[in-house]
Amino acid sequence: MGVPFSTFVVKIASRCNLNCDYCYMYNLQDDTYRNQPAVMLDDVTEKCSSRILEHARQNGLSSIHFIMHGGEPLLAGKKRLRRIVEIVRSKFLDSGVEPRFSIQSNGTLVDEEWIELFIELGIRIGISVDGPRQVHDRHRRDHRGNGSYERVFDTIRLLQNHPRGQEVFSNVLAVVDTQISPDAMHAFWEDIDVVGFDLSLPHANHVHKPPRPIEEYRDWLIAFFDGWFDRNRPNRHVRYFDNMIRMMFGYPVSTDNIGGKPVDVLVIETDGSLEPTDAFKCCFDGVTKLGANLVDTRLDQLASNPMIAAFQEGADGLCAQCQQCPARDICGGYMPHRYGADGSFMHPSVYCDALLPLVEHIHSRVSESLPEKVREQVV
Amino acid sequence: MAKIRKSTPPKQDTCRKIYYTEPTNKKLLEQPQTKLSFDLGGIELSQDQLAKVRSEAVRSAMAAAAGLLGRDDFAIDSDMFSTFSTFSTFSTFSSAA
Repeated sequence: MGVPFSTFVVKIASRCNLNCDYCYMYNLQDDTYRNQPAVMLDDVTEKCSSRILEHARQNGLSSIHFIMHGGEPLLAGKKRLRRIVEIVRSKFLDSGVEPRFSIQSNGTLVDEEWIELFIELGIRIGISVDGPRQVHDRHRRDHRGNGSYERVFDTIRLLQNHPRGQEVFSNVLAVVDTQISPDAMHAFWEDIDVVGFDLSLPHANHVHKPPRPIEEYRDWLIAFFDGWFDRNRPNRHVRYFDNMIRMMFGYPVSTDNIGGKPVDVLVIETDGSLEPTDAFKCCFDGVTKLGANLVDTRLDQLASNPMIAAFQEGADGLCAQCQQCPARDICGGYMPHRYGADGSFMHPSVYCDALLPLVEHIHSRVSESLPEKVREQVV
Repeated sequence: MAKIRKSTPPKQDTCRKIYYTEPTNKKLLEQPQTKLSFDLGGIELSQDQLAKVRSEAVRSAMAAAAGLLGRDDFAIDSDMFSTFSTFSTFSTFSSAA
């Protein structure tokens, strides 16, 4: 296969206590979650661990990343979370392959006991938060329509005030909403005082368009970048921008939404189904269903699946326009965002008119920031 | 709601270790250069040069790239990882959560 899988997004719960308007799991084109078990049971976890270890050994991996995801993964409960980690650790014991754990949460259910459990089990937590109250609560509401801002910020405060909270928490993830000014977003970041502030564009493509005009995303991203770059503060990272800069210098990064490298991520559903990254759910109903399950499929066998093969092609599988683009290997043409009305992915990203100007802008700002002697050598 | 207490930021080194997700597969390390890349090949960046770089983000990227390019085995510190998101998809991976 193109590259072995080393990052596993494991759906330990397939339901969510929030009902975010842009959620690709529940509110875009794919309704297949309705047929999934609510949580991942022990037998599936056992098989999941065996398959991942088998794959890691076959491909000579020394570590894998086990990301517990949902839905809202904390709906699985503390007892089940502990059990899942115990099963995986037990399976990997003395195997020479190290499992690393993290969890991505909406932050509404975390309490002191959860934090103690994350610390004890060595699980890093990322919190999804979209900005100040008026922005966050516009999108991230519960099933009764109530905003979740208050609970999420209680969680951030709990994590920051815990004496060992830094060991497990350092970053939040925001879906870009151009209705908040970049300056106001920076002020919000200052207020919550976290190291990492990652960005995600709303999942969309040429059939299911982004919620706002592309030019708004272009202008917003460039302004937010400038605000961050000009502040020039250590310990303040926007991974989306950090990664672009690192790639410009030829340093590899591991992320599936930019860069155009073969994707080493595999999603495992609560019933053991094997799927490509969830973002494809913005394309059409059932798009991620490969017809493969852990029970009867070795992970290496997925190489012959057309969807996995296409995703693993990386930048080599881009359309002619992208192949000629100077930003090809920075942007990467994120595959779910390339889906078109002809049913193919052979299109530029629907965000192309935002991403190309952004990459060019970042390149220009970085170039200007270099000492003259270095600039002469590297540009 | 009470204002969130300002926490003491972790040291830069710690921050780097807990924040970035680094690829562990050698094939992922073979990134082609594009027209919007900077070619650090063959350049030994001195501490003095790095110190003159104004942006923390650029300094960090240059230092990391220069360190990597200078190594034959392309070994990556496997301690560097974080939550997905990246995977935008944790990542860089965006999250459903």
